[in-house]
This record gives sequence, structure tokens and C-alpha cells, in this order.
Amino acid sequence: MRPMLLRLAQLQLRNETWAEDVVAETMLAAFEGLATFDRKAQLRTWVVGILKHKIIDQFRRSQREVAIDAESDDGDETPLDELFTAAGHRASAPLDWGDPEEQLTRSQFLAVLQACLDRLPATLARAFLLREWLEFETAEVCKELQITTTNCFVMLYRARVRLRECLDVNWFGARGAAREESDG
Amino acid sequence: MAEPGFKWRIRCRDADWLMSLQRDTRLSLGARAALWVHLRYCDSCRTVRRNLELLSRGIRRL
Repeated sequence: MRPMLLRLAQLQLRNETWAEDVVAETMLAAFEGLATFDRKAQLRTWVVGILKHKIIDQFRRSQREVAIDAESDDGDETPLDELFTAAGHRASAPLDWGDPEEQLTRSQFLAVLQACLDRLPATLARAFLLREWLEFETAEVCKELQITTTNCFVMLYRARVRLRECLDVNWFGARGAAREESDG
Repeated sequence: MAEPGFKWRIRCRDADWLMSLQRDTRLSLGARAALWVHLRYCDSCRTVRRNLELLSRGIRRL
């Protein structure tokens, strides 16, 4: 379970030392709390829940040490303009990712998703994971990152656009290509 | 990027932004109406909306 926890911590914190610390704290807390663990619950979900709390603590501690240069993200070159024509239509039709239930049962899907998160610029990944993985309210995300609400919405949008593109190419595109080959 | 002002026919570019914004905040009535109308006739944007939903659910499974 440790490598999985380490990958998740690394995704959000983007710092190996902090990730190692957070995972060590999580393992310790899980070990100590094992007696209170409800056997009906999933062990993985429970431990990841502890990890999330430890990540938030570490995130707040590190926030004081490293000022996140969110403004520099204005230079982020997410090619939004290439997605749409001058008239505002989509430059190409989006790929249909298919049945969510089916996709979510594939461990490979989650692996590709993690790889795509890895490739996101750190500031975008931080904002996006605070919002969607740690399930912060948007206002809290902006506050944690010390950025304006508008900037916050834009960062979350850019993160989603990039992840959509990355998944299109690396998961759904690859599968589509494989399907075409087997059909041919 | 802000909410486009109220108009019945928005473009995919606006719809794309609004679908993301909607996951983070409550849209104005005008924006919701415009998006609703757009999604009625735009297959591509409906696909994107489904994909966004799958993305969110995937993240929560990590």
C-alpha cells in the first residue's frame, strides 16, 4: 500500500521529502488506529482518508515556507485557442469516453489518469486536486492558494482541459486505435 | 474569462468554459439557461459533459 500512498502524496505535494513524511505519518496513524477500524469499511479507502488529512496539514505547513507563484501561471500556455475555431466551434469532435461504470472498473484507467495528473504543471495540479480529490469548496481552494476567485476558476478550467486532452490521447485514443486495428 | 452575458445561442467555446465553471460554482440563471439550450442541440458538448463527469469520478477513486 505504501507505493500507492506515496504516488498520491507526491501528486498533490510535488515534493519527495514531504510526500515521504506524510506517508510515514499516515502509516503510523493507521497502525495506531487499526483497533478502531471498522472491518466493514474498505481498508484502502480508510487509509487514503487518513492520508488526505495528513496532506492537507503538510500543505498548510509548506504554504508558509513556499509562496506559490500562482500568478506565473498566467503564462501557462494551455492552448485553449487551438481547441476552437475563430467562430467558437470545436476544432475537432471530442472522443466519447464510453460508459463511466465500465471505465472506472479498469485499474489501467486510473493509472493513466495518474500519469496525466503527473504531467500537469504543479500549480494547476495543486488547485485541481484540492478541488476534486480533497473536495475543498472552490472558495477554500482560492484561499489556500492565495489567488483571486477568477484566477482560481481559470486554473481549474485549464487543468480540466489538459486532463481531457491527455486522456483523449493516452487512454481513449489508444483504445480507439487498437479497436480500429482489430477491426481491420 | 467571465460568464458570457445572457444570450440564447452560445458557442461551444462558451459552453466548454461554463461546464467547467458549473463544477466549481453556481452559475447565474442566464448562464444556466444558455447552457441548457446549447446542450439540447450540441452532441459534442454533451460528450464533453459526460467525460468531465467521468474525470471527476475517476479522481475520487484515486
